[in-house]
Order: sequence, then C-alpha cells, then structure tokens
Amino acid sequence: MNLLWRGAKEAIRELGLNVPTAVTAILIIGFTTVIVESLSAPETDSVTGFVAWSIKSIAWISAVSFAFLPLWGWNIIKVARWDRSTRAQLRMTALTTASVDDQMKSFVRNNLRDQRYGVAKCYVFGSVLGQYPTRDVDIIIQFDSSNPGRIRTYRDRLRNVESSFREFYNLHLHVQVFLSVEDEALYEFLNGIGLKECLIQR
Amino acid sequence: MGKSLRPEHINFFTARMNEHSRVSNWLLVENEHEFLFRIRRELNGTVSDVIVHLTDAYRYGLADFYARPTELRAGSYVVIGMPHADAAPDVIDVAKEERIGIGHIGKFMGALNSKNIWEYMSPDERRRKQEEQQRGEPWA
Repeated sequence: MNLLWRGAKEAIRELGLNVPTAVTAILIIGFTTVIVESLSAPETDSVTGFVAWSIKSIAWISAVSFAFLPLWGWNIIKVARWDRSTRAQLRMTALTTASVDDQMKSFVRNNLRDQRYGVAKCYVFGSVLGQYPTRDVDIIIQFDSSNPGRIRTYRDRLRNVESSFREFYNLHLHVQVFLSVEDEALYEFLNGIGLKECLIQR
Repeated sequence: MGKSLRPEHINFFTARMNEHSRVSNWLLVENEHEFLFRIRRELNGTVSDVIVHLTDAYRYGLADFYARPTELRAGSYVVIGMPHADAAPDVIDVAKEERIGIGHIGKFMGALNSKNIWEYMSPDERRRKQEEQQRGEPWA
C-alpha cells in the first residue's frame, strides 16, 4: 500500500506538481468541465439532469485515473527499485562496518594472546560493539602480575601494539589497565560500562 | 594510558593553564604515547617546572601509575583528563609517597598554589578526611 502511494506521489511529482496541487487541479478541471457541460446541455427535468451530471463526473474521474495508470505503475516500479538498491546499500554498509569491527577485535585478540604482553583478561567495549561511529577502540586489560617492574615491561610492549593498531586502522587503542590483584576494581568497572565482549580469558 | 583524549579535553586543560595566575608559560612535551606538559609556575618568587601527565584513563589505578611515563618524577602531577574519569583512592596515597600528585584539573589548579604540589587536597578530600578522622577511621 505504501509502495502504491509513493508511486502515485512520484508520478505526480514527475508531472511537475505536488500532491495537493494535482488533486486541486483535477477537481477544478473536472468540476468546471462538468458544470460547463451541464449548462450547455439541453434542459431536462432535475432528476434526469442530476443523473446525467453524476455519470459524467464519474466517467471523467475514471478517465483521468485511467490515463494516470501507466505513469503510476511505472513509478511504483521505480520506487520499488530504489527501495531494493537502498536496502542493499544499507546491508553492505552494515556488513562493512561489522567486518571492520571484527577485524579490529581479531587484531587485539591475536596480538595480546601472546604471553609477552602479560594479559590475563581482555575485554572490548564501547563504540566498536555499538555499531556507531568510533574514534578509538576501548579495551580493558587485566595483567597476570601486580609487580611494578613487570607492569612497566608489559606496558612498553603494549605500546608497540597500540602503534601498529593506529597505523592499521587510523584509530587509537584506548586501554584501561588493572593489576592481577585488582579483581574487585575490574568487576566494578565492568559493571559500569554496559555492553562488553571478552576477547581473552586465561 | 595513551592519547585517546579528545581535542576539547586538551583545549580545556590548556585554557585553564593560560588563565592560572601562577603559570607563566607551558609547553607540550614531545611524547609518542602520552600527553605530557611542562608547566612553568612562579610561587613566592621562585620559578619551577611541573611535569604534567594528562591521562586518558577512565579510572587511573595502580597499573597506570606503575607504568607512568619516565618523565614523571617527584614534584610532577597526573591530571585526569576526562571529566567523567576518576582515580582509585589507593593510587593517590601510593603516588603521594613518590611525591607525585593525582587529581582532576580543578584540584591541580589548587595544587599549583601549594609548594608541595602532591600534598594538596581538594576541599572535598579535606572534608572526607575530617569526617573519617571524626569517625576514627583511617583516611583512604
């Protein structure tokens, strides 16, 4: 039904009119014609005159509608084609976005799985899961150690991953870190962020 | 940890530095991974530099502090760059032992008026400390 209506609107637009103007024009022309016809017709009694007037009106409206049909049909096909191509485009955009998001997650997962980075747990959250434009990728890391020296080493190594990520995707990796002994703080943080996905769990 | 702060966060910080009466000038320290600033301040006729790490951490904790940039030394400051971010209470105490202060921009603005920048407590922190001392609890 929506397609029929949009087809009609498009057809009217193609005639260089908008819907209210077209309707008004049809009515004015139609009624003017009928009135002129009625006035010029030989006089009959009022009942016969009314019937003739009604038949003429209906015939005229049907004729106009019939003339309008091919244009309408053609525009219904056009609108349906637009819909199909728009849907395909949207599907393609969604697939591309999802695929880039998946690639980024795989990048993080595959790199940080290496034990040199000391990652005990890794979660991803924020825009990368939310299907909305992002300017960085938020990840949470809990290290497998709480030793300050080891944390510094892990951190230095992580910076290389961050640099590579930035080179690949032109986005920052926004890292929130926790020590191995900070389970409570980690879970408190996780509870406050909404949607998240676990990438690494040792 | 990193450079994920938005330009508006950095602009807000630099605008506050421009208007602070103790700050004579500031410059961005070149660092590939973090936002670091050298703030020159004048206090009681003495000129000194404060290295500031403008952090993008959502919750600045011990792991962040252990892995802090090497430029941070006694007398430096870690400024929480995002308004909705915060610092874990234990890291503030640990940093204080290293004579490094941690806080939001508002607290840092106040700290710039103190000789020992790491000892400065915001009015909120002072009130909490007083309340906990009255209750006989150690201040966390």
